[in-house]
Amino acid sequence: MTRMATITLPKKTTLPCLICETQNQLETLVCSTCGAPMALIHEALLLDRDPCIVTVVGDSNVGKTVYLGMLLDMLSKRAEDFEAVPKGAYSVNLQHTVISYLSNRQFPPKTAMEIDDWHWAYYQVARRKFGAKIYDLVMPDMAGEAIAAEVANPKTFTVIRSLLEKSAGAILLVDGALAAAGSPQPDFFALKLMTYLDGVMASKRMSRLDTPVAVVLSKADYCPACFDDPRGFAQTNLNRLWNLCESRFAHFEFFAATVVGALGYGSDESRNVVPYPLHIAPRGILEPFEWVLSKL
Amino acid sequence: MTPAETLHCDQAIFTSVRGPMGEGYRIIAASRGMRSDEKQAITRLSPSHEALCWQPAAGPDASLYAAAFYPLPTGRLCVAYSCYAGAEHTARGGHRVYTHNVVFDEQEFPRCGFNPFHVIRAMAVVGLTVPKLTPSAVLPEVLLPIKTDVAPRMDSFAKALDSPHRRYVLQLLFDERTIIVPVRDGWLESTELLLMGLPGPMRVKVSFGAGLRFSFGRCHRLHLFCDKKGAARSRMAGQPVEYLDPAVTLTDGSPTAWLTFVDSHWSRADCAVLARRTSRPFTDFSNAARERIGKLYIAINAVPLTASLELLSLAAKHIRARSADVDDEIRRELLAETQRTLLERLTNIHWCDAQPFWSRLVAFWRLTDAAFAQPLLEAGLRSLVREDPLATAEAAIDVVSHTPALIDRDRHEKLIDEVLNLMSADLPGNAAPDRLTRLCSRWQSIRPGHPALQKLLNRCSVAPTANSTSR
Amino acid sequence: MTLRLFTRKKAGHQARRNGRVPVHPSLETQSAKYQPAPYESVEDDKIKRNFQQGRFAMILRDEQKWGAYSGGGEVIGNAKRELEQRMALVPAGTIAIAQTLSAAPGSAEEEIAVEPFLLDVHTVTHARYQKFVDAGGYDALEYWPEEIWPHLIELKDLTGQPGPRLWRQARHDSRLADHPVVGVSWYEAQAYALWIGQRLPSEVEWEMAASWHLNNSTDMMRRFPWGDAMDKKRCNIWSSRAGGTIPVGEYSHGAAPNHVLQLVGNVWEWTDTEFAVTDDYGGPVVGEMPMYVVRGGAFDTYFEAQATSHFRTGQIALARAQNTGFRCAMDLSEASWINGS
Repeated sequence: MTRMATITLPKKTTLPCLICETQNQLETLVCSTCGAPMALIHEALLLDRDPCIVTVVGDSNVGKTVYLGMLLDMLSKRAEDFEAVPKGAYSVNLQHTVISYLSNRQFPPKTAMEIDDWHWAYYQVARRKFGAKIYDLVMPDMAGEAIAAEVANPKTFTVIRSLLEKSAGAILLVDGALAAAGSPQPDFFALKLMTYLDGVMASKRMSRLDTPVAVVLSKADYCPACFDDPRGFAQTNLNRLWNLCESRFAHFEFFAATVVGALGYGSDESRNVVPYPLHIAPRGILEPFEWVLSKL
Repeated sequence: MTPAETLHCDQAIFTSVRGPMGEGYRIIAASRGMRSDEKQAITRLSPSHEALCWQPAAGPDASLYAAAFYPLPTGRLCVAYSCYAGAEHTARGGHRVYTHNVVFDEQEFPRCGFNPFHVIRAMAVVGLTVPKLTPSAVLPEVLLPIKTDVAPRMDSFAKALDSPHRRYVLQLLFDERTIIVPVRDGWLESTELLLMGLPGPMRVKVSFGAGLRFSFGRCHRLHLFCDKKGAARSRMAGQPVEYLDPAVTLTDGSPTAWLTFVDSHWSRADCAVLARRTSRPFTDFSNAARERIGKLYIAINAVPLTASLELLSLAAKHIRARSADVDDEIRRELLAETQRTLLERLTNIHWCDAQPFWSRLVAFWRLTDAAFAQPLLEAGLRSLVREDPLATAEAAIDVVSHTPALIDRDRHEKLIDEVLNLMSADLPGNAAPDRLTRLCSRWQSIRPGHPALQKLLNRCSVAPTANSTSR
Repeated sequence: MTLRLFTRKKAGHQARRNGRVPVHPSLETQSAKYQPAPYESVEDDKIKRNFQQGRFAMILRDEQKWGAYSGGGEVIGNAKRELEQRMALVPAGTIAIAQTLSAAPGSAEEEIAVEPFLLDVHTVTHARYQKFVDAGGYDALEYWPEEIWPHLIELKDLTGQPGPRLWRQARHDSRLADHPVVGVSWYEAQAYALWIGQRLPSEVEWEMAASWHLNNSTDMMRRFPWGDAMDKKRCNIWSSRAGGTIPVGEYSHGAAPNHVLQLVGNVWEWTDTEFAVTDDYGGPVVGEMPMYVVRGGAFDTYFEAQATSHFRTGQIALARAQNTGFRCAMDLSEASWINGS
């Protein structure tokens, strides 16, 4: 049966934001509370299925923007037989920014903490085969500091809480290079974040959280052993996180990923070390995403 | 110069550094008195990467880049100063934003002249505007030397906004609206001047961001910044935020008395007086109160251009009025200004100008307020006696012969003495004898035996030798 | 015998199956599916053993000595033929090397003249490298610079045996025998090249082979060995969707004019040039450890602009990446039997 292509919207003067559910005027472009594009709800209303939110989370400077931008670009190029169609031109901004910078051997600018500066991507994703399930994915690129602030002090950024509450799946990036170098920071941050997720998403106290969480060891080019056995690496170098996942999460998996093939270092006028991505060799980008989708 | 007030503050530094506990934008140091919900609010409201509107500039004012002011959930107030502090440490381009916050009790706000920019200037004096990227995690409390007699600068305000736009912004603030005012530069000065247009105690409710890119997560009541390419404007559709376009001509309705008075100061760049006048501790700044006070200030400003008779009416109207709040203070200022102006006019007045006014002045002295009118009479008599001593003496008799019961007796006596002395000294030799005789008779009944009068009497005896009537 | 130039003959290597490039087995590789290459029996005779190991240049270097050997003449002749088959002549030319990272138009360049030399037609395969491992190459210190000796112990495969990083039990996966060897550091590539009597090409030699900027040309440089436009059907980069390395004989229509294959794509190739570049402000760009230039792009090179004849990049010398291999070069003077050399 052919469904009608147009849907008549009910006559309203306000629409709820997809993320925080604040009522906004119809003509509003950006939610006045959380800064999410109102185009998300406009697009969602035109479909007859609820969009899935897959959040990419992680500490500051772990590589969320690069990972997400690369992921979206690879999906747009139909990697692994995926087909991804952006809903709205705003959805392309993130991958455009990331690809433009990386192709010029630069990392994209830091994501500001201001919510309305975050990139939002709304994509329709499916495998290119007959009858494949279509996923409508909303994936915001959030600032790591905002995530850290919310985890440390809940309700600092309520939009993050709203996003995570509504997330069908999460991709947690952990700095594999730092972990390989022996720093405990990635383990502690991931532990706090997963504990926060547990608190936000768990419906029942004693049951395990069934939201799939893909833990991705980013910057794994620094330590190729991450690719050989991500689970083993996590068990050794992110033991606190590993133990929490085992006890509180029903669906979790560890992956390794890298975008950069090699890094060079220069310095700027303030004597800060400037990293240059010498060439781009993405690896392990799609696998976590595929896994999360398979669990949805 | 008034001595500095001391403001006791907590402080917190928000910036992006790499440290043992993590990296990125966060509060890196704070004093012990900072509460967790205050830190939470500061984290949410502070600017992060590339949130400032302009590049670092050399010069002594380079430290004043951006400012914010807002209430915290605990009821305390936060004044924040932001600047660039070198390149962002992850070297991904852009500048690191450094924000130093000071927090104090709302009860201390009057001591700051109800002006957050006095706090910022004090922060600069004690060096809090210089970025410290490696502070100790626990900061001491700080004592800020607040000087409230520093006048805001007017340099770029007039260029940024014309009169109708300025009044419009102020009215929106009174209406408790949120407003964005895009300006090319000078946002700190412009923000301060706009704030000076508000009654002091009302400013605690007007949070602002000056020089910070607009963000819905940092939605203050008032935003002034450079909106490059209209990025903020493009997001305003359907938002409960007013975006002012200085290029659009505004139709000027009938502005309220308060707006008229404030704008007159802005137009004259008379900002020190404006700040003093609006920063009074009003307890009532409702529409009606502002209208009333605005009219008073308009009257004060108009005194130099008001006719003397009207000034006397004005003084008569206000001299006995009593009210709550600071109206009395303002009335006193009005009366002082009126008195000063009249005094100035009477000091060099001529009889032809004084005549229409003199009897009213005398009546004022006698019936309304002798203390207000006494100096005026004295100045007038001193000035007029040089021109026409005889007429002045006659006028003086009118003054002294109907002495109000409540006047200062000493002063009254001095007036009589002064007039008599002046008159006898300045009376020309060819003064009309009949008039002089009548004058002396009248003076005799008021001040018999006064040495000056005796002199006059002697002259009366001598002068009318040709056709006098012997007594 | 003259090496044929400008030949685009198909080398007769593994053809595509069903019109599609075989998917990299490593995509489904797990330890249980690993097929270790069988051991080969080793010749007792020294010269025959050298020939079996592919050390043809070593044989020819001591031609006089082996010429007096019993059967040496035949082996020498075979060695020459093998070299002629396996190597191609790259003529003289001039290469301009960008000095800055951005290599923006108008940025500093250094012009370097390139002498003619011989270059492997194919990158070194797992099978070829196996011979080096089996011959105890990792224990022969004469092929390793002294500064690397303390790190030799780290040059192990997944099971802790000396060998490329992705091998197991010092054996390559026999399904990848004709794929380029990967997981080897610059030192391992250098050691192998020395062992077989050759060397790594310099960066300018590599670029000369890929761009074909001849001295007698009309100042035309090719962006790719086959021409100026990217063609995903001529090389194995990310957008070719192989997902891993392919046999070294594939993509014959992506060859350079002298039939050198896969200069662009499949694996990055080590050169013997240290990676030295500046940023746009003249400051040096360095790695955490010494870096050497790698060229050509690989199966996972995402940006086509990074898989050209001219794109310069580097890799840490000790890095043992799954996308980096190498091919060997030889001075023309060491192949004196070749006409015109």
